[in-house]
Amino acid sequence: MLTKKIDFWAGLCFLGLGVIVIFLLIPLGIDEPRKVKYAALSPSYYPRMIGIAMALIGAIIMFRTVKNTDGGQTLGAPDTNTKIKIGAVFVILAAVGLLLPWAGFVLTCAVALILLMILGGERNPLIIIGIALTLPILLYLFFGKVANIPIPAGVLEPYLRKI
Amino acid sequence: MMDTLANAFAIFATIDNILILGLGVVIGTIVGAIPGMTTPMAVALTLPFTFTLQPVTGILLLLGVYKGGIYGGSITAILINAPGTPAASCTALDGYPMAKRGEAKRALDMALYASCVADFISNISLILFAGMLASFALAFGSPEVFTLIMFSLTIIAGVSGNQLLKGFGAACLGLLLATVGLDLIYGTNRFVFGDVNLMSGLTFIPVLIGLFALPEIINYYGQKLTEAEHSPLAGTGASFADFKASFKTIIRGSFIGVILGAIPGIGGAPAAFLSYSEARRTSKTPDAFGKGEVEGVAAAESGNNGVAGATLIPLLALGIPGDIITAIILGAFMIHGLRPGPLMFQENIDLIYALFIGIMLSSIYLLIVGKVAIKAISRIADIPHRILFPIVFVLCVFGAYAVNNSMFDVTVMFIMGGVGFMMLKLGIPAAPFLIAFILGPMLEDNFRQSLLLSKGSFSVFFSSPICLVFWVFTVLAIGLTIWSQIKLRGEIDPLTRG
Repeated sequence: MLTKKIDFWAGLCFLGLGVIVIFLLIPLGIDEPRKVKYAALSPSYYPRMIGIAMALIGAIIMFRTVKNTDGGQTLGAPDTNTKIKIGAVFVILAAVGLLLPWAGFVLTCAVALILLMILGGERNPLIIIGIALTLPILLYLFFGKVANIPIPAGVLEPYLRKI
Repeated sequence: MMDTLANAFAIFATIDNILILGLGVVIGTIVGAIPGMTTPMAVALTLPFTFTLQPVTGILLLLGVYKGGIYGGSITAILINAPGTPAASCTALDGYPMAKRGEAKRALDMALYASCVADFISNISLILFAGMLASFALAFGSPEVFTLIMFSLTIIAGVSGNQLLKGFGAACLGLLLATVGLDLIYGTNRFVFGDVNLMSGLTFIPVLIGLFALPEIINYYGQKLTEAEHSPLAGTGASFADFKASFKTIIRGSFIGVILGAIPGIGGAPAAFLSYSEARRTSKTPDAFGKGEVEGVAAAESGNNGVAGATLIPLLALGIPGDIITAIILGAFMIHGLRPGPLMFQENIDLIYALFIGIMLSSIYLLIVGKVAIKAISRIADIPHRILFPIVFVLCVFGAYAVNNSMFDVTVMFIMGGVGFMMLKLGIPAAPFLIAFILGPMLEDNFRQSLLLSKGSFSVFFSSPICLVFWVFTVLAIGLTIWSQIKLRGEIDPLTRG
């Protein structure tokens, strides 16, 4: 079984992120005013402190993992089926994120519901179609009519407006 | 005095008032339980309906929505790990693991009992100590709030369990993400990168939903079907023994809520976390916290709800709204030609007492509505996870959008879902991230405002007795954590050697 030192990877993530914050994100992403009265009042002071702390924490975690080769948690590699399922969920989530502005919430969520329920093992078509049709429309109506929050309907806008 | 009370009772005791207060609690509970619908949003949406009502009736409707909303937020936090408010996210720390274990009804019951007791204590405090607490609250300036938040952050060590360093790392990440947006002092951009959506910072709810609910949904598809399917409300409710065992925690949490609630601008989240932190510190089983400890739910909910009545103290006694909700309620007062503050206690004392009577009744309503809500929820509890999780996903998408009518918030939720899943796989606890993200803006704002006042001198953080008390508490809390870690290592070492 393939095992990974997850503590090492976690430490590397913190160290990497801390370094990126200090040397890349702060210089590029923080607009410094021309004159700062006190160093501690600078907009970058607090994020820099956090970046340094994060990098240090990451380094300590990595050092401890390297030093103590027996310790640390290990991560069992998931089987192929699980990998495919999780990969499919990520694809569905990404597709939902991309399709929402164009296809609207009702259509996108209905399709996502069908796919996620099938992926989860639900096989009853009545349940799948029933929920996929009613839930997004009910939520659309609740937010639109009761809470006065207009939900983008996308391509279904002409039809949903009539409800 | 008796005349005033009689007048107040006459003003309050109408069918309209009694019914509308109950209706408010029902609306608040339902809205609070919907991801994306926040309590301030519910109170704001209800405000126009109060214009045509009598002043007391209208304000009672808003107060009912407020109190119901605070409790409602805990329902989704416990059941689907999607907290409706930042404060309810503290409830999710133990509530959701309990639900996963099949003890959701017990967690919901305890959340309700703790909420009702804390709400009652908060209301009593409002009635009896409004003047005294208002003057104490005024002693809290930026340095005092900074030290208070520092003390609240010590809970990070507690919720990190045996992953202390990873917990600190996660907290740093939370603090960092909280800095996104316009700089408070200079108004310059921080990590905005030209995107207008980032100027006001990352919104709490999409981040919380993304970090907590989405990883659970993704992770579900990685589980074997046999271990993934269970009824979230299986099992019995909280017993009297549970309530008795948590009673001390509830009372302590309620008073923490009352004291912090009286300070304008603090809100429910720090109260919930501080109450949780104290409960864990004094518990005989601190390691059980964060893994589904019923006392943790009681602590979080009592701290959160202890704030509810107390936030009205600065509003009624001084005319200062402590948060968004009390600002809306202040608006309702003014629409009806009333101006909260010391003068109101002289000119409209019978009206204030009528409100107090209504506020006391709201605690009873909360208990009744909460009990009915739990029963109603239990009917949909048999939904198998293969159906429930896709439904939760859709609720998350609609909820994340509804907070600000923003597609950007949905994207933030998805990104945070990915981050949360990665954290889950790397064994990085999410709770420290959450605490730091919620308390971070308050910490930084008060840190820099204090330095601005003191012209850059750090001595401002040691200048008042309140600051010193919180520093002592902070040092003691850190010392206690280090000592318990050393003790734990000492206990583990002989076992591993043996």
